[in-house]
Amino acid sequence: MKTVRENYLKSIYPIGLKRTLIPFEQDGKWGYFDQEGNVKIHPLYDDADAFSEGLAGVRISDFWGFINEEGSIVVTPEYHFVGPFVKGQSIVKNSKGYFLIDQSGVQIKTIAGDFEIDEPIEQAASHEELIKIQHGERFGYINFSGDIVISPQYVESGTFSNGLAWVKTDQDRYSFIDSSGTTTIELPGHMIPDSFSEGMAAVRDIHSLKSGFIDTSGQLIIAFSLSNPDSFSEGLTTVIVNKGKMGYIDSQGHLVIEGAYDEALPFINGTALVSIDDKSGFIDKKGDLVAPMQQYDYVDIQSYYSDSSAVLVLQDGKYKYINRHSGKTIFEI
Amino acid sequence: MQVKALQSISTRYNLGRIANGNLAPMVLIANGLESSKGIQNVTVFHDIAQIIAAKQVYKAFAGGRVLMPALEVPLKSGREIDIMWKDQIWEVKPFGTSAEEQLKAYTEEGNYTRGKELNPVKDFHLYGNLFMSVYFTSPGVVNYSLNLKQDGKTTNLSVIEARSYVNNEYAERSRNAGLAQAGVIGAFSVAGRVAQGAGAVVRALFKEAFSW
Repeated sequence: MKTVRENYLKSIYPIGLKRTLIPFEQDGKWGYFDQEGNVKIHPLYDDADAFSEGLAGVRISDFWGFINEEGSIVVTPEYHFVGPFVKGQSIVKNSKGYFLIDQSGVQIKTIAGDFEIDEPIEQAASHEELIKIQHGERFGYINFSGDIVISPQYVESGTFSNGLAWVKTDQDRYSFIDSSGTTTIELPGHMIPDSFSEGMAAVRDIHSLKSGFIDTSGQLIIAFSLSNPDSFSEGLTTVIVNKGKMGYIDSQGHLVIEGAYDEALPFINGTALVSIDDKSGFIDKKGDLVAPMQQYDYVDIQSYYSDSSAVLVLQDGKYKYINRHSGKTIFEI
Repeated sequence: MQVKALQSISTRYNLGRIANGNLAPMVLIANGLESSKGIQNVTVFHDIAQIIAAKQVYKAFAGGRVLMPALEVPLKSGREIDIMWKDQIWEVKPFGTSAEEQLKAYTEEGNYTRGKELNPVKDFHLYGNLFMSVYFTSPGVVNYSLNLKQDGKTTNLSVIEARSYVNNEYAERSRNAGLAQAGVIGAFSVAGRVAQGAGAVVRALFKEAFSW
């Protein structure tokens, strides 16, 4: 089984980083190829993360360190966990707890507190948001300096995006808080939110099960008439339109791509994967096919959500990366 | 449910984008709850259990990284592994059914090991008075149960009974909400933007919009 991991999920949290090298697995070892499919770092590692600020976490045996884009080890593998570099610092963990290290591997701060990080740091890093943590059965947030900003107090909480996070209190109600922990949007007891994306968050009425969208000030901007909207990505989101078919609406709530698909994924880099029956292809924002419908035995969703042009698929018994703008094969594994 | 939709919901759920209370409605609708016939396929509960179990796998092994368990991984034989994390695999079954035959076939076909036993998720709210509990009962095996909590009693339901309950509950709620179900189906209409009054508080707005 070949798997791929891309550490930035653009549709969920758009980022500005240009992906240069893509991790891939071959015969149980991980290396990196470039956007043209050329192997740049041969598969030598037991695990590999994406590059951030010129360095990527790699695992040798049980321990993680960092390599540069030439494949040289710059931080000795000695950690159980490493996060991406953000402004020259990475949160890492060993048996003694969490630390901040710089790009030469020097520990510059011990992060105090008895908690576990409960979301991918890459996700928070992409928006320079707070990082969700868990202590026992309660959730709170730290910043990238490792300081606890909002103490673990919520029975459930979401990840920060657009400066807000949904939380659930002991009163069994959902609301949104800002990065100071202040409640900015309170929701009625029968409303359940998703996280914000592109300034809008879906909120579901649990009586009718229909969803609408609010903006970051809490105003209802698309009424509660939608079936299963996803988060907005590149100005559009999927909804179930009728008879189970999926289409796309814009931020005004207008149906801009007809509900013709059995499956429809978010737009990423200008295209979206759609399926009819057992065939899938990529469409542009006009709804026109840019990569023809084909039968794939498997589409790796994690690679699809990355911001690279390459999407991992299984076709005719072979795993390969295809270009999301043409459907053409970039790289066969 | 379609595989890519299942994976997409699972990814968003693992990342903390979807609240617990939204998971089951999302999967129920994706499986046809709003259609004129309601949910036809009992695998809807398998989908939910799979996503819940996958999050336990994610929390146990991903450790603050964007790295998702794979769902419905196809094998050359045409079989599909419910949940995979590296070489670990899990098969999801309702209590009372065996995963043995499938797990044996998977491990014979590939170099997989039966997944670790992880923490259970108990009394996860699905819809109305219906709850699900998900247990990692033995290596590689995830079992789920469906329980109706009503009038101070807890009744274990089969997947067929649970499907009936959900369909009936939805129909009743739709009637009570004044929604003619047939009118809703197929009548997609998105209201335009609500006029943006500066400083309007959502709570007030919601009270107005949902006084019904």
